[in-house]
Amino acid sequence: MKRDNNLIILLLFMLGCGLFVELNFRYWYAFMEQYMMFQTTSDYLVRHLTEPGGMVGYLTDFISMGFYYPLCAALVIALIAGIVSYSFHRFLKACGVERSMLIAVAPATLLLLFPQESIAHMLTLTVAIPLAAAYTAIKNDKIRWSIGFIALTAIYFLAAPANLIFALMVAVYELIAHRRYGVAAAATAWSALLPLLAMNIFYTIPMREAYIGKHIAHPEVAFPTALWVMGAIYPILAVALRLIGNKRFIVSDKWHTRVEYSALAITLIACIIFKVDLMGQPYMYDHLAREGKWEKIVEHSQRYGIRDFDALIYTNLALSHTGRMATDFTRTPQLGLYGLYPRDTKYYIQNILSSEVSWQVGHVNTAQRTAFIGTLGSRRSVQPRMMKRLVETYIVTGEMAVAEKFIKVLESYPRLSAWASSMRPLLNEEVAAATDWVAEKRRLMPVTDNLYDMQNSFPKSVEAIIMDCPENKAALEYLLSFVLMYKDINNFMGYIEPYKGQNLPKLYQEAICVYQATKPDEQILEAYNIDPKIWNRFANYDRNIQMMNAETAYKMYGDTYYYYLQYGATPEPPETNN
Amino acid sequence: MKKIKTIYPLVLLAALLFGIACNERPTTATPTNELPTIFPDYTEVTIPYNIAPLNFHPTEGAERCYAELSGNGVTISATGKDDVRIEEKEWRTLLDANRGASISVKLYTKSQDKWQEWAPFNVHISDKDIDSHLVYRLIEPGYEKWHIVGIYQRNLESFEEKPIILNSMVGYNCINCHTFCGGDPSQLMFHMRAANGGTYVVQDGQIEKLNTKTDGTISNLTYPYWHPSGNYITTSVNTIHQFFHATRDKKIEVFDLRSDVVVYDVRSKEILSKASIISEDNFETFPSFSPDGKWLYYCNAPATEMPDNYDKVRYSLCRVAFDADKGEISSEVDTIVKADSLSYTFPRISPNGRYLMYTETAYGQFPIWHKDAEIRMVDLESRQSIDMSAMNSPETESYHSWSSGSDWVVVSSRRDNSLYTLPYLCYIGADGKPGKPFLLPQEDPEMYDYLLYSFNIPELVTGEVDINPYEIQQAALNKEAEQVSFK
Repeated sequence: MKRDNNLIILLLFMLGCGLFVELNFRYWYAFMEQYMMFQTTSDYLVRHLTEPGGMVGYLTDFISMGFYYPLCAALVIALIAGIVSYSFHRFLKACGVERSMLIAVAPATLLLLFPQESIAHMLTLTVAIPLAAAYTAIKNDKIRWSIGFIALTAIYFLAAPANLIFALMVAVYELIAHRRYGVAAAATAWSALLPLLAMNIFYTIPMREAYIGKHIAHPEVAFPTALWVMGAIYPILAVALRLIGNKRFIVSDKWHTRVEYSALAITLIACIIFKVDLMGQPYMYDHLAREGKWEKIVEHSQRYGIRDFDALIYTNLALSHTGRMATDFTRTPQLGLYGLYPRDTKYYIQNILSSEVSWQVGHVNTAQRTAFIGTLGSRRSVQPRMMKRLVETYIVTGEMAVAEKFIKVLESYPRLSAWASSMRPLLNEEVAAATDWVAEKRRLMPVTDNLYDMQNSFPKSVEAIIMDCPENKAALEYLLSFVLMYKDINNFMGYIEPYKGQNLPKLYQEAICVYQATKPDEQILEAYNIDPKIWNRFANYDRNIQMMNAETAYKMYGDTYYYYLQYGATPEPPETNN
Repeated sequence: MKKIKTIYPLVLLAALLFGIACNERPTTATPTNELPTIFPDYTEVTIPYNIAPLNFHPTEGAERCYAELSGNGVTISATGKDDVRIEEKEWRTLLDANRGASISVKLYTKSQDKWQEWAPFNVHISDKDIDSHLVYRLIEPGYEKWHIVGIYQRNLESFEEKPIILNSMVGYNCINCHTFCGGDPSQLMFHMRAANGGTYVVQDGQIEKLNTKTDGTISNLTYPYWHPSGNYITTSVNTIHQFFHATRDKKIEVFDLRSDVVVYDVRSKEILSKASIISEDNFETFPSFSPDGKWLYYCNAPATEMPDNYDKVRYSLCRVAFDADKGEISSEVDTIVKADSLSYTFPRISPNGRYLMYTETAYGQFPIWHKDAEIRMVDLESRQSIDMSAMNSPETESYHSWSSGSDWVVVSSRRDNSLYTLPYLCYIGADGKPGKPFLLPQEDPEMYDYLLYSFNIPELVTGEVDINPYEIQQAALNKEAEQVSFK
């Protein structure tokens, strides 16, 4: 019965882990997938085999390919948590600690509470803890020590720093179960010495990398404390439990079981409710953008609101893709330039956003440059999603040899291999020129050179695009949104001037009405085809504005540009060279 | 269990027989008169007798490859699944037997179960050796950001590559501008920027870490070149900026707002004002010394408003006499190549003092992003230009470094894909005429296809750089930078 309880607790815990990841961190893991790139080349395998802990990186990259898809991260993490917890339970038992599975699963909750940018640390535990459990199963001392020594050495090269955790577990077991102080000391010393030997014999690497590899945490920033805790908690908990002994605080089996289930349920539910991903919205939009589901981004943002600038940039981009940038202007928070284009284009999601927005408005060079920075600047110097953009941009710019290079690289990445191969025909210039999206991007590209950078010289960079190609609708919408959100009616009139006589969106007509009211000109309404209904509604607003309070004005005119002009907060001016 | 034990040797035997079978010349191949298209393109190239095997693969792909290489009675064969990998010892025997002659390479490829025999091509073996090592920086061909950077040395006689220093060891900073004193692997300098910043000078195993920004100069030392005595290093000091183009044919422009040329005395740790060319009226950059140490070469252009006139700045190649005993230059400027409609940069004199090799581009001094950039050379005795068209390509050719015997150069070229700079080795004949350049051979010829790094500043050196990377690391992390003075 007790065994069944343990099994049920383990399965419930795994279920909870899966739910937690799927509900709260699915898009986090989907986002991080694009910063890893498993390759089927021998060079990629050899590279990983020749660095400490490289095989953990290799497996991490391989498994993470699936994180793009629903449920995959949840299943993998639940399985890892289950394997590690089960093994730890076996290890505790071997150390003479007769505790329920609830204690054994407790450390694995840290995996949920402190999500890292990959699952490499989880795989490290998946090597160390089951191996430690297996080690305890070998009864013959000499065989156990020999296998332990070989395993310790091997997992340093393949799965460092699993060797450090494994060595501590071995030391704990030998001390607790056999009182073998020498073996415990030897295991610990060997695991500490091995990296020093390796970095002088096999590798030229920094000491940190020699000890903990470069895969479980970003090697360019401080090693996260959470990872130290996650690694150390298993041996420490084993010692602590052994010291406490097998004393039970709740004697009744029935109540003991009830309390255990309740504690597990409360913990998991609390994790699901309180440990949400604060970047969940932009990561979700990023994923939808990768799938081209722009309508869904618009729907979601209008239904649930927008929680940060990155999500706002994606919303504006989605509005542009769906042709609703002008019509939904008043339904979207207007927070200035950084709601249209990211503040810093060099890092993570902002880098992706920069490339996406530049691609949309037709600034192919910036889309290419930021995609390149995104690729080289990412932790592993690969970014398959941005490499896709590189392929696209180089085909547009006609640089087929380098496009082919990135196609070949992506063909070695199983998740995008088919996409990459489908791009091969476009390496033929005639095929490329006859392909709609290539022809369209080429048509909209600037032909007059300028020195305006999208980041530092917005909106001049967009204005330059439109000067070359006035029919570039996306660029025009971005430009006009920019001036309208900063309430710059004079510049708006300058930019809209070439579009006289065309059917303009309601938003632009309303802005023209405002201009007409401030600088009356009989020709304007006619020249811009202003809908009489729009003009009359504005005239009513203008006449009654003094008599309306803000609430009434919002109810009657909240969807208009002149309402935004009067009541909307003007965004902070951007930190640019304008 | 017993069954497995019986099968195991059989599997080994089968694998061995398969290996032998695969290493035999195909008997049913259909001959063609066409030359094979291979990568790297080693057809009709001239190579030094001490180079590593020229492994290659057919560009059209193949299920299996077999190649026969023969000359002067020695024949070797090489095989591979989709490439040709030549055994090093056999290659060495073949090259030793064919110094000053040519070898013939006959390739067989198997596609759709049919073997094809391609027309043979020649590889010419020079009896002049190339310096044994090539030192380069591997860096992403980035725009405004670096990430993973390392300076490596490659033994050209084998495939061995070792790091000299990696930025992962010193805080992921930028490491750049490595240069050697006349190709001497024991005398090296390079810079680190950002974390652990400084100029590092290595001489006879001793590492100096220097702070080279002084009150008399506009920046840290930048683009360096050693005096053959090892006592001086000339460098430019530059205020470097960049901007990005909007149109499809151009990407980046790197330009100087200001630049000067200075000479640094390695012994006294002083920048010598009497040997420096500091002027607000001119941009001076990319200096180098002549191999006899008597001339200081540099690029010179009239100063102008930047970046407004970025495409109007044209640099001439000039030189001034340098007195190594006094540490002074003369005031008389000799213009070797005058800028008219084009601009010239990276002057490098052959070690025998006869040729001046440089890079020509439409404007500016930083040609790495200029597709039009090409290598040019002038005979310093006759002041006549030499036809370098065999060395150049439609894509960028930029940096170049001479081998100590003046028979070989390594050239940075983007001819392979227009973005990633790769090192091409090129024979220079006694008359100065270049041979067909060939790409640095790699054990796995596909390596270049997947490599996401450029080979930056390839420098030929006469032996292995034996300074331990950990010693450089310790100097970077623990040493205080000594302040250089301006005298």
